[in-house]
Amino acid sequence: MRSVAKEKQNIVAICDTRDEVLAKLTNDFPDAKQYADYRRMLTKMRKQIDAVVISTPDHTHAIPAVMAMQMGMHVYCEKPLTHSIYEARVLRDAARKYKVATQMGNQGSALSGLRETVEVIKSGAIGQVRELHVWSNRPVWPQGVHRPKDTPPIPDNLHWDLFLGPAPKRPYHPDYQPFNWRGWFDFGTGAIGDMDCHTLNTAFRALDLVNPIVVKAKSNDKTDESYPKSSVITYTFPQRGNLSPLKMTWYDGGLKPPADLLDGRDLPGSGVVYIGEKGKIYSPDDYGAQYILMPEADFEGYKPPSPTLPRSPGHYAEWIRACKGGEPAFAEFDFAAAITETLLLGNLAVITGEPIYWDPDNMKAINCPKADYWINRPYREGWSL
Amino acid sequence: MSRQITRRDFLKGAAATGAGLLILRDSRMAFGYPANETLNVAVIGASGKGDVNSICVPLPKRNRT
Repeated sequence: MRSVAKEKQNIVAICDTRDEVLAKLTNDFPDAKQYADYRRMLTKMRKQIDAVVISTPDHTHAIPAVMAMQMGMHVYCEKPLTHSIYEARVLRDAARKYKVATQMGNQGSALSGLRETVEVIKSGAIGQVRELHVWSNRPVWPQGVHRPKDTPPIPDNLHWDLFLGPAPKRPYHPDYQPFNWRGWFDFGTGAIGDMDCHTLNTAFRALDLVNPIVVKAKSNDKTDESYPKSSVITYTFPQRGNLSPLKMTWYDGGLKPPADLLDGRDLPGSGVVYIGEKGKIYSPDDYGAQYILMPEADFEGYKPPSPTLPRSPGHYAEWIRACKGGEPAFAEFDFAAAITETLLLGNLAVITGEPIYWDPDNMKAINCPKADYWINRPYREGWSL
Repeated sequence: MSRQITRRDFLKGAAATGAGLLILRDSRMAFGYPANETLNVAVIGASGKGDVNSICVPLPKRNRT
């Protein structure tokens, strides 16, 4: 992050649906034009803007991203890339078509430790990986909740209709924003949406975790509109090239893998365990950038393989370098769309309550018609991608 | 008729034509930014994770050519 400040890029416009947020930035960015509606901002300032940074709630990532790319602007977008699988594929295709520099905000991608861990796994240090456990302490916002019944007035300084954007119309309530949008189907992607792009980042890159055969979820306290208080989601991946079939389990809301998985170690709030033919790899935090080879006695004096991946000048710096014609950033949208699709398949299983037998070519959950709505969520009238 | 063609105009125009791909590849070179040029960045959603202060620092207004 600090390396980015050194980049000294010029902020020419800032958009937010809350006037108070903009007001606080006036002093620091006196020359930046302020907008509540990004469509207006991009249209009016297209000649001045080279690149956009999108950190809106998940349901409003895709529209400004595509609009900006169509205008030839480079795009940095927070994780997860999109709210729906359809949107993820549209962003991937737009980035390819318009040849702009892209980067998703899973900033752990820039850590040398993450890249080394990928190299260690790919070098076969623990042999074929057949089992993977990933867990997170999320949600740290309300989930498993019902739509509030009271309808307080919309605050004067909030553009509620623009906050809703493409989502179905609903009355204003402070339960939805500024922070708690993550728990609602219409705005967020729940615990796995917030964290999987971080926690699964290393494993995804090392093990090509796309196109599972089936995804199943066990949810606790889910409602019709809100993600569950906790869940366990299992993915079954087929043989992928030379990689053995693999079963991945995601845990959230305080649930964790069995304690004996790590020989009695206390499991922290988040982490990853890879179980291979010749040992285990344990990464004890959100970012998958540290690794412990187990059993430790078997790996005494272990030397990692020679680096095969480039090391990063910093996550934002990489993107800025790409904007100026350099190498594509490490979390560009081809990667970002793929990892986002994998995590959103978990949400399909959570929301529908049914196993998702995934047909990637047709972008369809086999024999699960109620998944269709969530795969390509319809937009409110007046909004389009 | 003296309207300057910016890089973005060029990209958009090229992308709309059938010959887009080939031209685009070259356009990247032709319109590439020198490494020391400052990008003009717009921020969409300014209260959350993408804290603008951590991305960019304010600079004096500059004239774009």
